[in-house]
Amino acid sequence: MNNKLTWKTIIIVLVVGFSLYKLYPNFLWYSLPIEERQEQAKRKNPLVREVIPLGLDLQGGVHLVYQLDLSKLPDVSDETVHRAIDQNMIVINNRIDGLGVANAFVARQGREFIVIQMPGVYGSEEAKSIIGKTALLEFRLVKDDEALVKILDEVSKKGVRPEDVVSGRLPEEIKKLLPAGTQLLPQREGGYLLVTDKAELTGKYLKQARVEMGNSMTVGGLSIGFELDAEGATLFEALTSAHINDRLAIVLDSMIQSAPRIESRIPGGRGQITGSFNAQEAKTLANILNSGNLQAPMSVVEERTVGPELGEDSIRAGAKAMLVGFSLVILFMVIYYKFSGLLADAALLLQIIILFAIMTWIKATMTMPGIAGVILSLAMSVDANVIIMERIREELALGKDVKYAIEEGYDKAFSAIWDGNVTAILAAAFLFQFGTGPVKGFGITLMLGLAISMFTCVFATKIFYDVWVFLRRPKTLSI
Amino acid sequence: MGFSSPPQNAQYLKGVSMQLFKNTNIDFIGKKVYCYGLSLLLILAGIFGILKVGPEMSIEFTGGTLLQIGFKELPPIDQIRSSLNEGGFEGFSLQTQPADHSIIVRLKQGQQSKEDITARLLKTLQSSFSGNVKELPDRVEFVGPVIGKKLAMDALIAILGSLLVIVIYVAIRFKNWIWGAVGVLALAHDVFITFGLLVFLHREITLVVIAALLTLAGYSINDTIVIFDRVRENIRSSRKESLRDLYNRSINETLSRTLITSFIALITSSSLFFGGEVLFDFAAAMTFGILIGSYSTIGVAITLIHQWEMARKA
Repeated sequence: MNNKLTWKTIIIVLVVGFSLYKLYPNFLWYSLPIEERQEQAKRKNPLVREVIPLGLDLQGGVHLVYQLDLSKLPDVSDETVHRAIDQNMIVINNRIDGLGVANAFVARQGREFIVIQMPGVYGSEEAKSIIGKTALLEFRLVKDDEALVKILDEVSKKGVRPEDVVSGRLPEEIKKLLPAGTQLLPQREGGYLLVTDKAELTGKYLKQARVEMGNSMTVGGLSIGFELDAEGATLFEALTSAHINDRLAIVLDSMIQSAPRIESRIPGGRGQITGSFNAQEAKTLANILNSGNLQAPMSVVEERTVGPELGEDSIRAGAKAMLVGFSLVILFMVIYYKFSGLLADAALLLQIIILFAIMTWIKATMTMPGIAGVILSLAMSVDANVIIMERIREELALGKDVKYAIEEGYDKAFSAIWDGNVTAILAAAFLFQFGTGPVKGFGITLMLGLAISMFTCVFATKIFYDVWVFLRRPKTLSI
Repeated sequence: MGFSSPPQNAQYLKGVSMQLFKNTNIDFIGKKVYCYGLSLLLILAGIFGILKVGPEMSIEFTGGTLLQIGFKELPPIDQIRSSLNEGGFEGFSLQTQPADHSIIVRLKQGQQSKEDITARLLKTLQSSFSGNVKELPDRVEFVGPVIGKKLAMDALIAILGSLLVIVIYVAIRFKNWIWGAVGVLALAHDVFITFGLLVFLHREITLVVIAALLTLAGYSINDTIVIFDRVRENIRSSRKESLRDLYNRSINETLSRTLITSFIALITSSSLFFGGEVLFDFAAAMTFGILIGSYSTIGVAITLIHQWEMARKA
């Protein structure tokens, strides 16, 4: 065999090898009965992280009911409650998107409840801590007052915990010691500070927060860069110019994140929240800030495990039907295109193997719309094979020999396959990037499936033919 | 299907190949009037269906009532489903909660009060699983839509954006905006008519149906582009023939591919009819959509472009 062909064959073998290696955990995991899987997921079996996550519609997950804390609303008229619930739902949807959880179910329930279902039981703790955060960002001035020493003495004597301080459940003795117009708040790094009891500026003016590399405190650390809108920037500038040399506490949900000293007037409304964040914490914090703050805090009142939205019975029936349909297609190709149809079938199987391996690799959630995307990518890949084989037949009919007919057939079929696939890939990429929920799930599998199908239909089948032509020197082609 | 003996000079073809629709020479452009008439009829039927019947959106879009019902021993979910079907309930979703032997049923409220629905549902279940169902539901609550206005808007904007992407890409590749416009027009034609049919048949528009319509859109544009490609190629090889003959020849040359691909797609979509009631609508939308899609590819898309070319020359 010539060099080029050898290399191409090696590439195919490597791709298949890698795909099977990635797929193997899925076989182990999904051959377990569903109850066993849930049990193992609760026990944090490491296998969970090695398989394709399934969406809520296909495998069920955790069902949470949140109750709105009405005491934090200005009034409890139906209208106010309704608006707060709506606002909170938007925020929760944003946060869940930021978590990368596909097709979560978020809906209003009753008057003051929100029901949330998230696929997979695994990681629901983390999700809960993120969903329930109010994300109230405030800037408050730090009051350096000698009273703080006394207060801290009392705090340690009384065994007051930071959460007591946050909720304002302070013993009377300590409350008496607080200077007028101040409040005691815990710091993220430990310890307490006295701050003004009114926020100078809130996250209402926040335009965007993002994770940034490096900060003024530590080299190579991470920080959260924030940017305020025009109005916020003006206020921030006024605030900083009036309080040079004071410390400004950046408070998130009543916890002081950092309290840098104001060195000079800060125009432009940009700043940094520094602290010893690891990458995950920084990303989470930025996500929470960007998703806006809850109108009122919420607490979990119900938590349970639920089955798939589509119902186990439908999923079983659907899986069977798809298998039957797929087998019929495989059979038809062999009947209609004989040996060449067999090659096309091999390419289809290859496409499925690679697609699911990549889905496992990038941890893309598989949902019902996602399966629709897989079906379409397979249909288009069958189409690509049909186009190629019809072309080869046309070339053979013109009296060209096997090798030449194959070359010509592929050459002439290529532009149609390319344009059809690229058009759909671009549209799918757009749906994935800008769509939500079901539309997103459809976009990702379609995009991946088509990209892979270009590789399997055009590149891989051609190599099969080339190797076969090289080894057997066929006089005739069965097509 | 027929077997044809290999062409005279195909000495390199092994044995006899099964062949469909070989060397046809149909004047598709000439059938313009019939095609336009049929499309117009279907579109009007779609509009009529949507205006008269009105799309019935599923609970994901409308919200409704959520009931949680406990059992002593949880029966298989398909039995519960068929029990509710027999009780005349439509468009509900069922979720099991194995941990406490209960189910969550989400139903559309319709005209009934919460109490009526609850009573009816319990009665239905008790008649099928007497003694197994708890007397009172664990929870009855109003539940809002999952796909609220904002999410639906976001999805719609993403879909419209992707259509624009298609128009632009196809227009660039075929060096004329009309190709992009007609490609998307054919796609919209297929999806709209299919949607209209589902509405007309009182099928509920669920997320599964939305997924089917997206799939159909992708199938439709790919189908059309393959014929466009053949026209492009034939224009390059420029024989001495009229534009009309060239277009007709392109459709005929790709006819076997179009029909075989559709046939294979139909095999798949009709298998899904046996995939339980959740997939039934997916199968119906796909099967009908593929038929419409192939028809519009063969009978409408190229004809429209020919019409436009003629108008430009006139």
